Amino acid sequence: MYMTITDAAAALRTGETTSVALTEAVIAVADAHDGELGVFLARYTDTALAAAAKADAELAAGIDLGPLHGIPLGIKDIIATDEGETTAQSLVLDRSWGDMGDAPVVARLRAAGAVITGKTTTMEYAIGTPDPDKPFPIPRNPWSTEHWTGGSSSGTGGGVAAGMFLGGLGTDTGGSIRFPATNCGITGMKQTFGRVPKYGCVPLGYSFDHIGPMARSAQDCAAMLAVLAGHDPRDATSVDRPVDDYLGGLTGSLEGVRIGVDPLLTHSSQNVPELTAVLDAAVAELRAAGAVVSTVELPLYAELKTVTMVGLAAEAYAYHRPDLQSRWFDYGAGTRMAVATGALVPAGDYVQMQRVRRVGKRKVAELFADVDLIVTPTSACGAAPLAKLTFDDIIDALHTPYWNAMGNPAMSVPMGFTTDGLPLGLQIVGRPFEEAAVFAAGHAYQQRTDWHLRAPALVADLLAA
Amino acid sequence: MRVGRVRGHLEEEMHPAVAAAYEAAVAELAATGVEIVDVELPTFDLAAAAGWWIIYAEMLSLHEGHAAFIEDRDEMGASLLGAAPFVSAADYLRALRLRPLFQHEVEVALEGCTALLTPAMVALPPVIAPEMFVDVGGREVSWLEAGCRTQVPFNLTGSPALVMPSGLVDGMPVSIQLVGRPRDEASLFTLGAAYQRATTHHLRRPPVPAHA
Amino acid sequence: MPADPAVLVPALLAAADITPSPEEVAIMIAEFPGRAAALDALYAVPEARYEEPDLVYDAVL
Repeated sequence: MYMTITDAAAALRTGETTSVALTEAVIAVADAHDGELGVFLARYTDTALAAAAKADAELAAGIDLGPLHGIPLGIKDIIATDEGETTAQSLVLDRSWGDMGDAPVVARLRAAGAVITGKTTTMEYAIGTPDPDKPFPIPRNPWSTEHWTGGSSSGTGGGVAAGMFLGGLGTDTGGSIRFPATNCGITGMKQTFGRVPKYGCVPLGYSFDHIGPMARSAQDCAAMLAVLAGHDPRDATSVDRPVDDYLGGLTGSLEGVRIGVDPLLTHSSQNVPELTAVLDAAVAELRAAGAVVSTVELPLYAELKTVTMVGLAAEAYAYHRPDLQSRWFDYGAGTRMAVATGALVPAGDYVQMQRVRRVGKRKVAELFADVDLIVTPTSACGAAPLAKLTFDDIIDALHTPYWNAMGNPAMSVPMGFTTDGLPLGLQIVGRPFEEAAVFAAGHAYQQRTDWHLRAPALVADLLAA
Repeated sequence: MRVGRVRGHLEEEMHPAVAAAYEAAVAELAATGVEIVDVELPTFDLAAAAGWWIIYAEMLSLHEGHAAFIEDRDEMGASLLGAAPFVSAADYLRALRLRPLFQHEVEVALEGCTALLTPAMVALPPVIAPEMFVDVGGREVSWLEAGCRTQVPFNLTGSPALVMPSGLVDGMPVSIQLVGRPRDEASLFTLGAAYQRATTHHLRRPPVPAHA
Repeated sequence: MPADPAVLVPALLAAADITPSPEEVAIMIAEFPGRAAALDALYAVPEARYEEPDLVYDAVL
């Protein structure tokens, strides 16, 4: 039962399966492996089965709410839901914060018939590294439990890869959707800033945060974003403009699409030797699908990565300062160190970041006059071993933060494996609000490859059952 | 039309003669047929501070490359620039997050009113001197602090604000300020024109010959 | 000559009223120059000289 949302939706309509059967299957995987993989902070088994039964009854009665109807999903535990508390995987967060109930994104998924299976692990407040001294699960990678899932949307990434739900919500401030996506061999979309409302989500960096979909395929993410996107005035950065038809543009062809490639090899000290060959093979598939490929160089790469990483720390610190003053040691070690960086940033430098951001946006827009999409590796390497995790190494490896400073839609799709068998991801970036083009490229690539359908050995037997 | 007179912080400390002139101007405005009611902006003692944090931070970003030449600026510019590094990014962001709260206070105060009324300045213009202080009634404060107290908060909220002459004290002009809803400059012009049809303060000229 | 991070970092932490462990403060001091250099590099972007900050602000609440 290792299905994409798209295939499951079709099977629900042919009578091949039911939402209750799908939900029972993912519950069985979680029963068997959640203790080892650290996917869930809370499981909502009873309400999930009830929602599944309701979906089955509705579909049987001819009420069809679309491709998410009856599909089991996981929600990162910094987003509020009706079922229970939100913890941000922290001892610090005031539990009454989540009393608001469903965030708009969750309400939209629920209205589309989705089955909410539980709340998934995160890095504390969506930043830092796992802290074994705190009473929370350590997320482990289904491809190798000695390795991390990446974060901060760790549980959603690991849970999709392990088949504990078919898709889910992550959040992305410096790469927290795309990083676990590349590490876990799944697809994750950080759409344009403002496209999806963030109300009901614990903030990290106000001007860098995104909630977005994570699932097996680009088509699955497109189906989810079609539901998630749209204005909500409770988020001041939410944009009021029509939502494109993401699924309608998935033709499988990239005929005439101009794609610029930047391998970014000089911008990380952690490139695995096989990265170039894996990236070249992925680009060859894009070309075979009709794309016109050229080489580009991202402008102000180091500067804009600084803008995201230091800027989000300053914004996070503004939110956390009172609690850092009174409860320093209640925070996990990685989280408090990453956020406290913001205490060392002068206001003038913060404003300067916002000025460089505009320069960057203009230069990137100029680049996008010559190409329709840009592709890069999502990360320079595969998942890091849990025994040797440092925040600095993680950031050094990632090519995601640049796009949080810019706000463009950026999606990671699986593009192969390291020689150690760890997944690698291809990052596909489009012009602002051109998610449809990004999905179309990811879909065309996934029509020609099956990296996104590979199952980790750990769960292969259960999933085949 | 109804105008809300902002009681509290913005008029609690004033040069006595400026305060008396302000009372007279309020009466003149009322005499044009405007109903004056008392309103509050309860936390506007913080609004000026928040406004300055933002100004300092944005100024420093612009001038960082020139900070080494700070001595070349005049005293005011140098002291403003010199103060700027002590605003942290967190202070700046805190000020930005407070901004909607102050906007909300203005919105509440304006309920049922066309505009708010404040003194344009709570003191007389300063005498030019190495150290420029002004009398705000019982104590002296920096002219910049006194001059901006009633004005910077509305830069922070982004409100339209119209300042009009309302008399002379010791031969120097004093003024009133009307503050409106965002994008409702039209009401301020309507109120201001009515006031200036009924008064002649705006027609006074300084005693300096025009073509000396 | 920029201020000594061994002086500046503890001073900024004191001003912020946050008290990490001595080991954590040592890490912050060690990491400070690298970040300061990265921030200085933002002032070296010529096009930013007269650019506006990318901040959303609206007079209408």
